[in-house]
Amino acid sequence: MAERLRSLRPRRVAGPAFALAIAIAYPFVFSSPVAVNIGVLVLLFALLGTAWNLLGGYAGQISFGHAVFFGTGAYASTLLLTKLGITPWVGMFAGAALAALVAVVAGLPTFRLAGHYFAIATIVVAEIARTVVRNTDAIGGARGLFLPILPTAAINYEFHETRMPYYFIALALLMSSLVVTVLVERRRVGYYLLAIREDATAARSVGVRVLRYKLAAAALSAALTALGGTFYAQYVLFIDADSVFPLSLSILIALVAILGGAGRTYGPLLGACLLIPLAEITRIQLGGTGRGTDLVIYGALIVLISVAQPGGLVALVDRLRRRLRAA
Amino acid sequence: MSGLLEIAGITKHFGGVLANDEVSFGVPEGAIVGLLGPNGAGKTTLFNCVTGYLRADAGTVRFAGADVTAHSTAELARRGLVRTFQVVRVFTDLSALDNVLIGALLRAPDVRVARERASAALETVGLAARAAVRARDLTMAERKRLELARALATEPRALLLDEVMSGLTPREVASAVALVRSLRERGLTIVLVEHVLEVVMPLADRVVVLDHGRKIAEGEPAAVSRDRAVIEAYLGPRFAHA
Amino acid sequence: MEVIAQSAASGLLLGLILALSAAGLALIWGVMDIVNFAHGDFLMLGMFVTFFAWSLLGLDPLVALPGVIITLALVGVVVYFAVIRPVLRGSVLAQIFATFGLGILLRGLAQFFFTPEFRQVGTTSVSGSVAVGPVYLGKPELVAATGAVVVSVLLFGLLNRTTVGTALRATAEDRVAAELMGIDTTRMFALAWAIGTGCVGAAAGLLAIYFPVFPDVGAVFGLLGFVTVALGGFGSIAGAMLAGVLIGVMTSVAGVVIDPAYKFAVAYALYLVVLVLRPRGLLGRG
Repeated sequence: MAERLRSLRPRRVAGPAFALAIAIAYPFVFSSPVAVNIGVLVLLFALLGTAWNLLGGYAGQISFGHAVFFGTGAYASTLLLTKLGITPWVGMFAGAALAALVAVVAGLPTFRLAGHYFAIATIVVAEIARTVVRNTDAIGGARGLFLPILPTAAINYEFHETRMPYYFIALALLMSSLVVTVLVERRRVGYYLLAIREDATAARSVGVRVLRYKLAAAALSAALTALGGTFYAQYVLFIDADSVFPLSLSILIALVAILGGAGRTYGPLLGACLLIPLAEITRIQLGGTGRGTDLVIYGALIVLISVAQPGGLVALVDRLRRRLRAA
Repeated sequence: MSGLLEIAGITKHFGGVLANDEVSFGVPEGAIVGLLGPNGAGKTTLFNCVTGYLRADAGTVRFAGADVTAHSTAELARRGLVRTFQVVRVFTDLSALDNVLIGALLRAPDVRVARERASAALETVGLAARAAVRARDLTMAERKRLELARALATEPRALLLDEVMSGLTPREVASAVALVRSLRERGLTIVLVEHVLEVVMPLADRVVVLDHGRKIAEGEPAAVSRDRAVIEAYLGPRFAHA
Repeated sequence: MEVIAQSAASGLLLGLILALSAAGLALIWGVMDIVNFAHGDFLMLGMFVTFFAWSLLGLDPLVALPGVIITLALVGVVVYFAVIRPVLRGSVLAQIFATFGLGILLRGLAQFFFTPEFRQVGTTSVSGSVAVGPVYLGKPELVAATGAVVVSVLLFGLLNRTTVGTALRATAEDRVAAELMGIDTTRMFALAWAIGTGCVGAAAGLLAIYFPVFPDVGAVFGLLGFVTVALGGFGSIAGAMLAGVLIGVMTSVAGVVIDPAYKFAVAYALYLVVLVLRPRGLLGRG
């Protein structure tokens, strides 16, 4: 009962409500196409990081292969649309289901591996997937897939006049992933995932079926990531192996979550708010010259965070808050 | 002679080393059985074979009438056979309460009930005041208690305690002994692995002694402590003649 | 058939260099249980050092090799104290990301200063090729592979025949026991980084004799390096070398027999199969 009451305390609702208000106001205040585009990307990567967090942050299974699920979502809904004319609104759930299946199939052998071996296995799986997609002509091969340009309509999941609808779809996706996260956190599965992250052997000793919960976390994480993949395909209207399956995407997804705070509800959101605008602005200002300034900033930031503040931005915020309260 | 836990003919090799050689014994329901032996006698290996961490080369384990040989650790925990670890294993980044809560989730219908039961288990082991402390910030003795509370919270029928007393101060040992007694009074069956005779003798109803992987003695503590083979194993042959 | 023999031979020559660089990765991995995810980018760095020694100072890659090894060893020590030591007590997550970030940083810096274009060491002291039966082997490749074998032998001597090597192996075996025996583990860790990245430097200097140099050159070699070490078995330097040669030959032959596009995918698939069937790798302990 005390827990119920605590969860309804105004302070716990005030933060998220305030953040939501800002998110809704943002595209009206900053309505230039560039600003809305950055907003869309922030929301998309916050979604992807939140999805990654379920497996990497809570269950502690560090994946550098989440692009596989992103790519699966993008390709599944796009192929269903182009070959069978099925709306992406249905296709995105097909993609999510397929990605969950991929996660289980890939997870069965690889979840036996620990620590670094698992991380490397995820890279390897993703690189194999990228190679196969790139070299399979039946699904576009190296040329990729163009999505048909359909009239602007909600049912078509295409909006050509303004990017606003995309912004709010991304916001809705992000919110669903956060709701999923909160639900997981408060339930048995959430506690079991933490137990697995902390010490799988000890978890087994109190009856946790470790593999089953790892697979569940992977499937959930993959499905949410795939929703992001479909969104990306509809947003950009072109996909190929190198844009939706690359290692760099997998790393960026993990980075958003870890930079913000792995295993914390709003960590990935915070990470995306910092990293994505930074990356986009440096790319716009300095990119195109191919001089890799964005890489330098990225790399330096990662090293700095992991050395100075391994808990991520959320831990930093926690500390500031404690200091404010003490003062 | 059918006990809650029946171990029969457990044999385990590591390469050329015979860690367990046809070890058999039974643990009656409600008893405290001490599993003794010098370091390297094969006690932890036996524990690992019984609790599913290692697969024995031969032999069977029966628990509550069912053959549970080679069952997974998680499955055994579900059936009520739970262990603790020689080198303590707690969830270091979680609070003491959450550590125990995770144990309680095995039988509790939901998190709220599990939290209540976890609080009760912390109370039992005397850690109630430390519920909010992260496990990494607890002392070694507290962590051992925490591990015990987590195991208790699963509502086991039998507890296998691997060296819960080692590394404790005499005062901590005394309170741990009292704690184990109180658990037996609740109807729990307990197997205690220890290499220190003095801890187990006053506590156990029966003791089993291993040396070089073989069972060399079994019986009431008083009789076993007079056993020549046991004295030799512990103190060396010189003392056996004295 | 001749095509296969030819690709196996050139795969073997590349594999010997891969083996040397994997040995460096395996040493660090084994001694302190940290995977240097910037491994490939250290290789890239070593190749650039070799290239600029040639283009700016006119040094032949073979002459520059000791300098490249020392430079990389120094970089390794600096990285150990600046980046690795602070995260040693941290989570695996922090450790992985620290080296990952370092790799991205190095790659970015290389792009920033050197641009993404391909560079190639031009005239060197060796050129041309020799025929061995039906197989033609480029002399630069032969020299590079021979160099890799020589350095590998020296590495083995260092690890197995010297006090320092014994201390390193003891640290890898059991860190706590090594500390109790009076081994200064911090020094051993720094040394492991020096020797480990030095090996990568040697491999880089030899590779640069005939392989083009560009900021992303480490990406594929890095991933192949992890696969190689894991395949060889955790903590086994001999295993890493064996796996390096194996992967060199296999990717090269697969490129001819299956499809050039799949040559690396085949090595990755092998990694998964081996780890599932034999989690400790080919020569791993445990």
